[in-house]
Amino acid sequence: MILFSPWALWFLSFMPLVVLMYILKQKFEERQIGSIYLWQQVLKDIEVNTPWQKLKKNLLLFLQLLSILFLVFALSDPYLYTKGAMYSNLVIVIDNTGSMNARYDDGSRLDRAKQLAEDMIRNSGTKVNITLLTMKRSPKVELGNTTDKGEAISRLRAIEPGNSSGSISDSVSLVKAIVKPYEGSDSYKAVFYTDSALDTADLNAEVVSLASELKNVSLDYIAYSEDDGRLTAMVRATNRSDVPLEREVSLYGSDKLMDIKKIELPAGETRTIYFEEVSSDASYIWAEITEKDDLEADNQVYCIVKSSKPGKALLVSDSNLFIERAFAGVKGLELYKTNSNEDVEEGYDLYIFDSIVPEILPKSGSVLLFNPPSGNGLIEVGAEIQGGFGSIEIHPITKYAENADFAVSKLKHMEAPFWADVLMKVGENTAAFTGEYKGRKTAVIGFDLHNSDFPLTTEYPIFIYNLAVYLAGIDTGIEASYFCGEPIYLNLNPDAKEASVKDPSAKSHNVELTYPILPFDKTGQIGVYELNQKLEGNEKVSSFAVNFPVESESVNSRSSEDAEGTTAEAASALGGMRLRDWLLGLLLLVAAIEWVVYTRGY
Amino acid sequence: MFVLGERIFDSDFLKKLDTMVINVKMIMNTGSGGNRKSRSKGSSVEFSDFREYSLGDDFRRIDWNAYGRFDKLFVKLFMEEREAMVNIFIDSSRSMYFGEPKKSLAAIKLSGALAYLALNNLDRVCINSLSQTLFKQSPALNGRGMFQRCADFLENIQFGGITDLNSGIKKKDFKGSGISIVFSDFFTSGGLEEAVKYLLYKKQEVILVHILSPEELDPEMEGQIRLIDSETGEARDISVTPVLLKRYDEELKAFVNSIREFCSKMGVVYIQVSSAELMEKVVFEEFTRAGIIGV
Repeated sequence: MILFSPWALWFLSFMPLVVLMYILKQKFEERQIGSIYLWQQVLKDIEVNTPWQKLKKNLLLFLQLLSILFLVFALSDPYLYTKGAMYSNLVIVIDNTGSMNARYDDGSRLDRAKQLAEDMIRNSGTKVNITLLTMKRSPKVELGNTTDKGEAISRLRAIEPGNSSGSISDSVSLVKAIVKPYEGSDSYKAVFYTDSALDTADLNAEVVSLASELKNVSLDYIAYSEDDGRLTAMVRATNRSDVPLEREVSLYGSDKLMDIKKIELPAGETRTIYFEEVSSDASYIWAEITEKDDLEADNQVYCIVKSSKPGKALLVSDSNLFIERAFAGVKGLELYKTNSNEDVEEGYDLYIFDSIVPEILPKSGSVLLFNPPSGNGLIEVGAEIQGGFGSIEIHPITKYAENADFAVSKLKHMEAPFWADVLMKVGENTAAFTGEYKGRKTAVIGFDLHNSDFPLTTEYPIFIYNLAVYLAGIDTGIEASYFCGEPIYLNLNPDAKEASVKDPSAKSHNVELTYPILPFDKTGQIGVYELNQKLEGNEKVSSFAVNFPVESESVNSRSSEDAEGTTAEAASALGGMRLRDWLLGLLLLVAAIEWVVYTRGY
Repeated sequence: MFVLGERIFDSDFLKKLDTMVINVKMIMNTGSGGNRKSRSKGSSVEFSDFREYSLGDDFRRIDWNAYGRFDKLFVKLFMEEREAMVNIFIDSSRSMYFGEPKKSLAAIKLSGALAYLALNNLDRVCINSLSQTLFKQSPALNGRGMFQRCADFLENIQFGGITDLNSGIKKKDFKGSGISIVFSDFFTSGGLEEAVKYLLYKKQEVILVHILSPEELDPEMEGQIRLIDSETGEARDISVTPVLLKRYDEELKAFVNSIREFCSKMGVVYIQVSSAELMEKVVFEEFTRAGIIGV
């Protein structure tokens, strides 16, 4: 126990004063009366009835001393440590991942965590430094090192539920860094409020477990296939609890209900539901479980229906089957061909030039050069040089194609310009690069495909596909779905003057158009987001869906197996308590007793 | 020893007494012949009744006029006037010298009034002051002119010592029947039964006048008080609370009632007065109601 204001103990010196007053008061006022004959009769009766007379005479004195004692101790603000030693630094970490939205008693786990943390802050000492952290996708310091409890509590209350995935364990290292100055001593305490199991290693930490048994069915995935304007949707649902559950799954196209199916899910099972041939011109579809359960965030899943309007690409080549076949296979891209001696028309999203570059380039649209001739006015190209074994560099465009094993016999000597990223190397020489130059996405492959066995590898179509998606800016099904909390790399049109993202609650977030474009990270809500790009003259609207990270967050009561950590019920006593309010209550009680004693005249 | 030491019976007081005498007469039926209508019939000038002559009657009292009219012998009966012996006992213990106004003052004034009435009635009056250590009695006074001596005696009564009515009254030697009036606060440990029984045995008509001071009837005190007995010097510490005062009140009522009950059992007149009450009020209301004096 510690006293925050020990100076108040000086008031204890009032106690002898009260005793003194009583001693003085005990001096009886002498009064002579005719006869005490009657009084003797009276006192004889009373004394027989009250053997505790002597004590009762001083009852008021005792009560007054007691009330002074309580008052002085209340003033001295005592603090009782119930667990652990005393600390002067308090670090509170609140798990704010998707699973914390699960029901806990009447509220959510997060509500309970906030409430417990608030109690903890209230009950901590007056001069304790409080640091408040939240853990969403990554740990975030909400408030650093303050002794202002009111501020800490208001920040704590302002924590919004998040839907992202994340591991509370990631915050341990941050907490370690925060408490490093106090390491070894007990002058700090870290408290984690989470529903996950957590190893706090050598930290002086408490883990308050908010895990609970949930009755929950999650919708994990939605996809569709299109056939003649009719959709077949596939929804996967998983029962995350230990009991069989029955659920009703509804399919919506935009805001219109299209179909409802009933499913029975044994404990722990996953089922796939097909909605056959629903007609739809909706821009997105989504499925929902009608019944409310303990975790509602995973009861919906969204998917964007790709716009059927494909991108257009123009291939300028005499004859190159490798290029033609590869680009013809890219979904969402219509390939047009022209001969090298014909004029290049405007209006394509992507221009592919094989071994030639026209004198006048089209005004807009991306450019892909194969085996560019020297003096093309676009990039500097040197003489043809001897090739060798090729290697693929790590880049988003070379995703899934990194392991290509190929050789190039001859290639053009090139230096990657400042604006470009190297995609491919042959020996020490740059063989391919891409980048954005003067508002135009440009990619260059520095060799004729006929001089290489690269087109024969399995990685070649993947590489071409990625390249086409990047250059032509086509929407792909894969990229149109994200999880909450994930940062999204927006694929903006090079001509965009302005861009903004509208979230499911219709709130608009502006995207800064400075290079490099920062990923969009306000993806806390589940639903369909709209990316709005203002181009010259017209607008381009594209959508993407953000879903609940079911794989990591819909998991049922993870830490119920390992009972380490304090349960939420026991957590309220953590750290200690301030006794002042209790003492003041006792003081009132004593005062009330005193009053009764006085008026009843014992 | 405390003496009131002031003229109580000044001319104002005497004037008041005179007024009383006009309105009041004492009722008495014992004692030697005096200026008092006795209930017994006898020789006097005041006619009372007729009755038939019977053998042995004084034939000087036969009413011959009546014989002439009725042819029967009748004797005239006359009210016999007798002189009564009025004994006044004043408790002269220390406790009587207390109260605001003092109980002793009330006792003396009332005694004086009664003595005056009695002397006016041609009764004999004897005043006795008694405490445990002291018994003093005045000579038997007779006649209106003796009131001054009576007043002197009363004014010079010394108050002190412990109340002990029993032994005090027993010291008195009674010569025949009479009226005994006792003024006291009756705060006596021995009780008063013995004294009353002794008086009755001595053929006394007993009148007890219980004088209590306002402080005793309704004590006004608060806080921690050490009560000191004026007679014994004994001290008692009390912390005065409403409950305690209530108990005192109950105790006082019980005390008065026990005396009153005893008196009615013994056929004794009991009057309880406060020392603060006006003398005239006591005489006219209390004494009249009790039948000591007739208006």
